[in-house]
Amino acid sequence: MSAGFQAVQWNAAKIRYDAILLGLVALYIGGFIAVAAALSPPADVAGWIDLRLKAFGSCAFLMLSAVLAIGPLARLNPRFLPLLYNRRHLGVATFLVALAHAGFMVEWYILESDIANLAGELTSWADYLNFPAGFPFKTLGLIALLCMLVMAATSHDYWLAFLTPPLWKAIHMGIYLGYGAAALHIALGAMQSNRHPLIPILLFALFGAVTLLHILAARKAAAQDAGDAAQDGWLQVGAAGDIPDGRARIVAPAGGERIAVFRDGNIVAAVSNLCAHQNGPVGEGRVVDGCITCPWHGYEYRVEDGCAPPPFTEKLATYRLRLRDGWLEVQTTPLPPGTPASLMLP
Amino acid sequence: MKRAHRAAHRKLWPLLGLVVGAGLLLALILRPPPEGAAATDGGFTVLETLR
Ligand code: HEM
Repeated sequence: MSAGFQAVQWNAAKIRYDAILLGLVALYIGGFIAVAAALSPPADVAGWIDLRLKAFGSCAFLMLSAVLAIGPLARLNPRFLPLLYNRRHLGVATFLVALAHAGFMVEWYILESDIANLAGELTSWADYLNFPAGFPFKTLGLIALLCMLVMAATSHDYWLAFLTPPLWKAIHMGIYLGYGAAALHIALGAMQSNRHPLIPILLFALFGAVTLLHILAARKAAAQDAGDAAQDGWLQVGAAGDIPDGRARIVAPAGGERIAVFRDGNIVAAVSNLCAHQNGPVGEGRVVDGCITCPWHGYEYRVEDGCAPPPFTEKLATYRLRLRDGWLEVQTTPLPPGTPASLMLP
Repeated sequence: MKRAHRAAHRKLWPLLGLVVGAGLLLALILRPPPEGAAATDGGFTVLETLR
């Protein structure tokens, strides 16, 4: 794969996803401001800025919680896969909403002619011991925003190809740190100065749900990762007829990466379970028109050799298969990506 | 995701949940009482009753 730049490839599904996203964000922020202003109308300009700060800040935290819940939800239940398809746009939109939130705070300081104090607040080191009510919670917001900036700036496929999927994924795990910082930003800021019970209730519920989903998804993956013992370099897959047509059975040698064994009619083929795009689980996808289709972003690979159909150039490592006494077995050493290795069933 | 990523996830989330969860809980428990609460009696602040 080369790291050439291509503009975002829009299609109908992405445009629909983004339109719904934009509509929901506008609805939430507009609704928040309208309801809050109706309940207690802001007295002055500063009051309006405060209202916008709250609307955009809470929207950003809700969106960040959603971004982080999609991954484990899709791993626990494939019904959530369509949300994963365009998750990066949701991530970038979250960063922009959080940036606007931070911008309103700067606007407030400019209005109060107090901008010099902002830097002073962040660097009054003694206050960092002043837990919880005096802690400079804005620093935690800044950490969260910087984490989101790195993710948003490297979100394009150019960076994915340039950094390689494993490194890109590792960097993008930095968003978990950002989420923790954002949660503490709210606990030490808004939750201290505002007694509304909804603040701790929503904060604990959202953070708790996201953490629980990640732990449950990781537990499910751990069971699958235990793997099976190979004999003389061959691993048993099972009866070929037991693999549903157009689907795969995923197997893993003990301590090794997963292998996806697909059946397309009377052809079986084994490929690496790691999609060349983002290391998505190709084995959870299906065969469409003779091509294995990754469930994450729809990348396609021919069943017979693991090569993406032209003009695309991605390739998956393939594995040798054999039938022994009616049982399908896969060799655990991968062949070079794109090597034809499918097997015709008798 | 590669095996190594899944292993990192498995260690990271319980740790993050514990550290941040403890921070959130402490921030809630140690939160100072709302302003004027100490001087409040039956909904009236001391200042109001003096007036
Ligand atoms: C440079 C970065 C940031 C700064 C300077 C900042 C600043 C602030 C300030 C001044 C408040 C008001 C606190 C109060 O009411 O006492 C606030 C509230 C809040 N912030 Fe931030 N923030 C930043 C980033 C973020 C990020 C990244 C998120 C979420 C992802 C976030 C979410 C929130 C939320 C949910 C609130 C509470 C709003 C409410 O009262 O309803 N902030 N922030």
